Amino acid sequence: MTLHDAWGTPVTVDKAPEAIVSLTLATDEILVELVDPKRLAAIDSFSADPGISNISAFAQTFPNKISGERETILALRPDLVLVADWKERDFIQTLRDAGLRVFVVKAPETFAQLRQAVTALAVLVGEPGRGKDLLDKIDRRLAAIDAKVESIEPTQRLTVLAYSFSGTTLGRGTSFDALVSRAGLINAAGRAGIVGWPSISKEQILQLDPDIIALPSWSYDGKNDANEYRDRFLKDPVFSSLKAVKSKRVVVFSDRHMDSNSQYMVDGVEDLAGTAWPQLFR
Amino acid sequence: MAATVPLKSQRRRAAALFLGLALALVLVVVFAVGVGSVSVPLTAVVSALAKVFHLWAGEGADPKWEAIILLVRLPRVLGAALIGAALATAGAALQALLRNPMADPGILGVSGGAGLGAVASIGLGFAAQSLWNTPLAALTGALTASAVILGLSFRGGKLSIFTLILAGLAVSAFFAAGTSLVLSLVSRDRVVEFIFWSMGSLAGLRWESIGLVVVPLLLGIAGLFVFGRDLNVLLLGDAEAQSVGLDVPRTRLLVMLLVSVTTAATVCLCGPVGFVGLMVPPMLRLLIGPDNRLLLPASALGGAVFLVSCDVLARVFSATQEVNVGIVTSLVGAPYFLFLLLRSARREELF
Amino acid sequence: MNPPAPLLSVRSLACSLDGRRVLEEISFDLGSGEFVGVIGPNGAGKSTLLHCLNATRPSTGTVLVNGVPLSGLGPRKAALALALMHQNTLVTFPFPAHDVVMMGRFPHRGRFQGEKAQDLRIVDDWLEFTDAAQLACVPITQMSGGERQRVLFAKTLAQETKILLLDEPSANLDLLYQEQVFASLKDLALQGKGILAAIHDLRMATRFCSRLILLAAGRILAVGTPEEVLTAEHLWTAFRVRVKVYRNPVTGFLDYHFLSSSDS
Repeated sequence: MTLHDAWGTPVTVDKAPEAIVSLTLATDEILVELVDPKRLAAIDSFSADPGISNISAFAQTFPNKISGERETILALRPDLVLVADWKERDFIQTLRDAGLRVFVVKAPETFAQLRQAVTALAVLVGEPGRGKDLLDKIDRRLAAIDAKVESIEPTQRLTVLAYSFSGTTLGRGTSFDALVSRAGLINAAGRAGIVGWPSISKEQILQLDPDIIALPSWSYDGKNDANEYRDRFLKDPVFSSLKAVKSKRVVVFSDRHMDSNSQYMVDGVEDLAGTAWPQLFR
Repeated sequence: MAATVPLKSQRRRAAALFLGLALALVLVVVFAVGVGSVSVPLTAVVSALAKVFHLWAGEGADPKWEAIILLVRLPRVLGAALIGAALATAGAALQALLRNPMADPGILGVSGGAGLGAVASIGLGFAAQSLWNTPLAALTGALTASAVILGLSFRGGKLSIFTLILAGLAVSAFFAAGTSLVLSLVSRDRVVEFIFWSMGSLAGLRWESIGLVVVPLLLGIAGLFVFGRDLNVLLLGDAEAQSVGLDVPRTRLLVMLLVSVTTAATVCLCGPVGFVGLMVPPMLRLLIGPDNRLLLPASALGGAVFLVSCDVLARVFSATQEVNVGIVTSLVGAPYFLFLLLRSARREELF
Repeated sequence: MNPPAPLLSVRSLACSLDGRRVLEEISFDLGSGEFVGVIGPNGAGKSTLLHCLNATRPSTGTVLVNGVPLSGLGPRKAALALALMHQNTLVTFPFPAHDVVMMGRFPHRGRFQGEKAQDLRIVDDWLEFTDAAQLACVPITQMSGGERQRVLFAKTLAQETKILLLDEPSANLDLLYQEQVFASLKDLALQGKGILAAIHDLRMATRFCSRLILLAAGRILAVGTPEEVLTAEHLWTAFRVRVKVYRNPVTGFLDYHFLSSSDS
């Protein structure tokens, strides 16, 4: 069985792998649903952080948490290594030179990509059945959301704008954008033509005047307090005229869901829809 | 009458120093290969090394230890030795050429040019396409910068040292500005990728990368050794050197070219690593004297020992996050440079 | 019988520095066995002349070394024909005297040739000659001015060229060594070398040189024997001093005495 990874490299699997090293949080979260934990040789160290990981309880008791270090991986002698597509080429080449089977994974940003990733991973680890179960679960929850969203008038669709601790927003092409449209909302940044995650100025925010402002809950260095940031935003005189401030719709969303690139993206959609239309979703 | 050291014992001292350096190199290489983020049993280290150097026909160690030692550590350690040797030799030659112990190959603008080449490769997406792209782009940038600086400094066959330093500054500033411009236009990921490269790192150095530059590096080092006697004569002064028959402009040009190419080749391998060329030769000069026929080979050995040691420090500094070797050499090198400055200002002596 | 061809033949040599003419119409010959002194006031161009002959300064005109144009010889071949000892060479690197003198052998050895036993002997011999043998292992940076001068003299001699050019060879030396250096140069001339030296001290020049070239303002004012060159008129023109030239009864050589305004 040969699959092509995110870089197009063919990877052949003849036997179900028994010592899997997963180096991204997304693949960690998916694998936990697909395989017996005994088959996991190591998972990414971020999986133990409850602020960003949906499997932190499991990860905290799991012994081998690593952060992509060559020697550690080689010492584990895994038969499958899952790596992000932004990892350095020479890192991956060294592992392949040592005879390890490395499969490069692009973190899913849309639900279509999520389905592809789940399918591919299920095949790789020899659990097509469990993969199908996971996909069914995702589809069912999404169908339920879609049904409720359909009933909302186009003119009543609210706009939402993401605003990070460092003053950037999330535009088209990000997973946030996919979550927003699935939740029946409009991404104010995307509509204004913003792509990716560039900085956004206060003037731009005033100009866009979104119905909902989505703030993050977690930061990489653990230094930012989400609630304190929200308070500052609400007290900022520049923002006092914003719709979202007046109607108390400046919301801290859980990054576990919003930043997810695995099946927990569905929770992100639920969070967004639940905030916009509480009457429909609670 | 000043204290005299008979020639014979001077020679014996030099021989002892070479032996000592060679021994130190072997020891530090073995130590560096034995140390890493994973504890590899000493027996595995020894048997893997023995197997590679064909010292022993046994079956070797557990394949996972072999993979770590032969694919991760050994290329990195030998790469560090090679780069350290190249930078130290280039530094010694440059210091003799400019008659100044504070000359580092970095003043030739090599790192600025390499930076622009690397950021162009990373920013335009070429880096992702092939492992060779960024090193080759860095090499091209480095050689271009050197060519511009040397071209500006050699007028009518004469090298103006003043012009060289100023041209080096100006060209470096220009390339640095270009680099910043590119960085402001590309995505955050690419910026991080470039910053990591620019701090000078031996992480993940692979045999293939070494294979790309090993021949130019060894030729460059050997070429500089050959100019040892010429550099000695140059130390007497341009006029004196000309009088004993040295073609001063041609020698200057050739040595500069060798220094540039050698330094450019190292930058393309691991990014800019500073202060090796600055620190190692003056220290050895105190032990071995100013004779470049001895000093250049000694610097090669000393540079190898120095960089391998810095790399070990970089690796074990923190258990989880590796510090770039360029940072370690700068942390050690910058205070030493200041010390040299103060000492030369106080004693009005250049060496 | 024809006189032997001169070792060095200079015709219409001219040199400009920063647009200024510092040497003009310099012509003379230097033959084997001659010790010629170049005299003149500061700024006359004595050092510049020597540097032009050594090709360290660009010049126009013809300089023939053993009949061959100097401009056609590369630095190495030129260094095998003539050796220049500079004035006040400052060496800031602690090379021992032996190594410094060995650098004089540079043009004799190919790129990949090491030091031969012959070279070592030559170095030792010339160190003896200049009375600097005991300094062989002393770093040149630790020597006094006079000691350094003698070592550099040995280096120049170790080049073993037929033609020797010296810029103020007795500059930093004690009286004893001054005498010795000039006596050595005269000996070397007698052995067949052609020696051209810029000399500050007119009396020494007169005693030891067979011929003198008097330079003033970049031109040759007079060439010839000391009697021909050292005249009151020439000294006035060149040095702007009023002197009386006479034969010194003690030394037997020409000497001069400054006339003050009160003397007639």
